[in-house]
Parts: sequence; C-alpha cells; structure tokens
Amino acid sequence: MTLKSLLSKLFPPLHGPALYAALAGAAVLCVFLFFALHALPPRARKVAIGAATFLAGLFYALEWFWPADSAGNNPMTFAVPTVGNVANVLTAFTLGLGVMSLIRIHGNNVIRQRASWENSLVLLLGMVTMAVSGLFFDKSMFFRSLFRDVLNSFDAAMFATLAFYIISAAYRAFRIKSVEATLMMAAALIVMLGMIPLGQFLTSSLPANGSFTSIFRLDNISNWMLTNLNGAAQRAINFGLGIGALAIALRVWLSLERGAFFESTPE
Amino acid sequence: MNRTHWTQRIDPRWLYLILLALVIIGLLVPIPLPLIIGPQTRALYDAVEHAPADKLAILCTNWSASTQGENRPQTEVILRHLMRRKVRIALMAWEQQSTNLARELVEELAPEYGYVYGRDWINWGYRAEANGTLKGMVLDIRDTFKTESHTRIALTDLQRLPVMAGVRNTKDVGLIIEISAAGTYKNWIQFVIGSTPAKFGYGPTSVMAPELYNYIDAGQMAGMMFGIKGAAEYEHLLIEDGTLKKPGFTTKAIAPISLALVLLFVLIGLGNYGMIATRKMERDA
Repeated sequence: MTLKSLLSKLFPPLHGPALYAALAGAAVLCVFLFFALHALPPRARKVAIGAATFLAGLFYALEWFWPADSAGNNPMTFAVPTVGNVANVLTAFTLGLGVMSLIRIHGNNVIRQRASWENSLVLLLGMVTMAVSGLFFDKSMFFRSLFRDVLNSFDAAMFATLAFYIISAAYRAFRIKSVEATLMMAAALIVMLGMIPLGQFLTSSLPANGSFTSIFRLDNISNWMLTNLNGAAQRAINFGLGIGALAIALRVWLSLERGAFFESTPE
Repeated sequence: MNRTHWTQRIDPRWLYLILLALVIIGLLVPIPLPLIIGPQTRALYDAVEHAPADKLAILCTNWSASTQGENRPQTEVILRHLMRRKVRIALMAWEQQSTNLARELVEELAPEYGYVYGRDWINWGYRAEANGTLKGMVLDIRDTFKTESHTRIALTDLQRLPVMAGVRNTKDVGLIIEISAAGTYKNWIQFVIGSTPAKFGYGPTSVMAPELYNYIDAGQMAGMMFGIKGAAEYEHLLIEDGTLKKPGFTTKAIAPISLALVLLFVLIGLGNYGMIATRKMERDA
C-alpha cells in the first residue's frame, strides 16, 4: 500500500454536512492546540515549534532529493499541491496577524487619545469600510468606487511623488567626489541616454548593426553595458545572495537562528 | 555672508514645478521622437507571436496601483497580442490589488476581441504564497487552484470551463508571462521554467529591469519589456503587425519621461557645478 492510498483511505474526500462538521472539528482542534502550546513551558514550546518547523521543511527537502521514478514522481510528490495549499493558508494568516497588530496599536492610540490619534481613527475606519464593502458588497458601486477611485488613486499618487524626490536628490546628492562616483555617473548617463528616445535620436544616423560605427550608437552601448557589465555584477550579487540564503534557510530550518522561537523569554 | 554658489541655493519647489511643467507639456504637446525597438522587447514579442495557439498562456500579475503607470500598459499590450492571436489566457496574481486590476483590464478588452470568460479566458485568482503554488502547478494545476475565482466553478468542470481542456500541469501550457513590480521571476525560474516547454517572458518596472539581463542571457527568460519604455516598443510592434491602428497612451508617455530624464541630467550637472563653484569661492575667500 502506497502512502497516497493509505492517506486517501484514512482521509476520504468529504462533502455536504460531513465536510462542514470536519471543518468545525478542525477549527476546534486548532484552538485546543493553540491553548495547549500557550500552556507549555517555554523550553517545551521551543522544542515543539522547532520540531514542527523541521518537519515542514523536511517535506520539501525529501520531495526534492528522493529518487524519482520514470514519470518524475516519488512517494512524496502526490502531496505537493496539497502542501502548497496549506502553505498558502498559513501565509494568509499573516494578513490576519497584520490586521490584529494594526487594531491593537491604532486602537490604543484612539482610546488613550495619544498624539495624532485622529490619523489612527481614519486608518481604522478606512480599514473597516474597505473590508466590509469588499467582503459583503464587492459587486456594488460603492466598493468599486472605493477601490478604483480612492485606493488606486491614492496608491498611484503616493508612488508618483517619488519622481519629485528623485529630482531633488539628483540635484542635492549626486556629487562627483571620487573616481567611483564619476564612473557611476558616466555609466548612468550613457545607459539612460541609450534608453530614452531623445538620447537615441543623437546617434540614430549611425547604422543599427553590421558596421563598425554601429558600436557607437548610444542604444547599442547602453544594451552592451546592461547585458555585460551589469549582468556580470548581478551574477556576482546573486551568487552571494544565494549562498547567504542557503545559510539562513538552514539556520531557520534547524531552529538555530538567534532570537527565534521565544529565545528571549525567561525560562 | 553666505559662501555657497547660487546654484546650491535653489528652492526645491522650483524644481518640482519645472518637473510638473515638463510632464504636462510632454503629455499635451506631441514630440516626434524615434523609438528604437530593443532586442529584449523584440524577443518577448517573438515568444508571444510564436506561442502555440492551441495551448493556454498564463498571465501572472504582481503589481498594484502604485506601479500601474508602467505595469498596466505592459499587461495591456501582452493581452492585446494574445487576444489577436486567439490564444487562451489564464490570469493569476501574487498581489491582491492586481487580481482586480488585471481582471478589469481583460474585461475591458475582451469584447473587442470576442473573448468569453470560461471559453477563452479564466481567472485563477490570487495566491499568497508563490513557491508552494508553483510547485503544485508543475504537478497539477487543477488540484492547486481547485476553482476559478469569479464564481468558484471547479477547474475540472470542462462543460462550463472549456478553456481548461487539456490543461493538467505546466507542461500543457504554451507560454508564461509575468508582469510584476517585485522579484517573483526567481520563483518561476526555480520551480517552473525547465519543467515545461513554455517560454517565459517578463514585464518588470524600469528599476527592476537590470536584474533580468542575466536570465535573458542564459536563455531562461525569452525576453522582457523594460518598464513603460518596453511597453511603448511593444505597442509599436503591435502597430507594425496590425493589431493596433495607432499609438496609444503608452507611446505618448515616453515624451514626458524623456524630458524628465533630461531635467535629471541638467540638475546633476548643475548640482556638481555648484559644488565646484562653491569650493572655488571658499578657496578664493
């Protein structure tokens, strides 16, 4: 009997009232587990969370390294979509944590009437209005107007202000004080000129390719710099990032990361 | 006595005003500028043009209203190209806002090309976690998403969703395009590209684009649009092939960007000139 058939036998697909009963049972079990975890002494809690983290990580490691059959599957493969859905559900919980944190911090600001509590009130009202209209009236004109006319416009306007900051920063901060800064500015000028039509216009009389003079076209120089110089630098950065990510992943998987899992909690 | 050169004392509000004026002028006054199609945009166009018409194309979006200035035109040109070729489209998103924004865009374009939901296009919806979702899609798309996101019809219901016919996993997909303001291209390359014959194209924001040259160079990415400039180039290619009759807003937006960048160069020069002039004044004093 394969693992898949065993699990299918133990947990057959449910429909109708049985499904809802199972969902309610799972919710009750989760609440029980939450309180049980909370009641554990810190040392035992750390072990429990470390074990859960290790097992969760072990699934993907095993699935990846376990030899596959001719169809490319191994005994773990069948569970990948389900584990992916579980990961999605867990990730979605972080949204709930964010909402809880916002309500706690800004709710306190409003109740205690701290400085700028009015902003906190607007934030909470905005969040509740958007959530209620999105959850229950998502086809209504009210929600569409809130989403399209208010949220989208605010979001776009906030990002657009970056252009003004960039202009200000270019004038105040981009100083050629060293060889490195000079090189960076020269590279930036060439790449930007090669990317914009106004810059491309300057050398557009030269042939695009197939001639020696084509290498002097700004768009060709810009493309060469992005592909070769920038590409080499990006590869080096990615290589370093990859090694760092591997080390961090191992530390998190094995619960070796400092400060993780209530390490600061007095035992 | 103030010992800084006058160029160092310009009120930044004047700079903001000049920028605003340039952007407005650039949008209102047509400036005939040559637009050279970059090799990356042309490669992306070719990938879409040669994608198998009988297979589904995945269009993943990961952008919000904050970057819609660049990402929306990119999404639009890709959609127009796919719709002109009558390629079936599946939308999916890693960002909550883009689920709605991309859906609205498809609903806007669908009548023009006779696209019907469920038959020609489908929305798989938003997923919060990319790695698990992509690993699942490599094995079984229907099991990973279960339902479409509009009315929760099961993806296995081919009567109501004929668009899903013959689509089991990413091997059955003809093309994958992501339009994004974040680095989720790495997730696709790590988990999907290589397991499918589908070509992978990208539409990043301009600031993200330099990161992608490696992957194009390595052949893991078929091509890309360099921000809104790439979208304008793509729009020109669509005019050349007859998909579009005339340039739209995307091409028009290139003029203000060009003018703003010229202002940027001028201000960098002015700032540095002011620094040198101030030093000279200090030495002479």
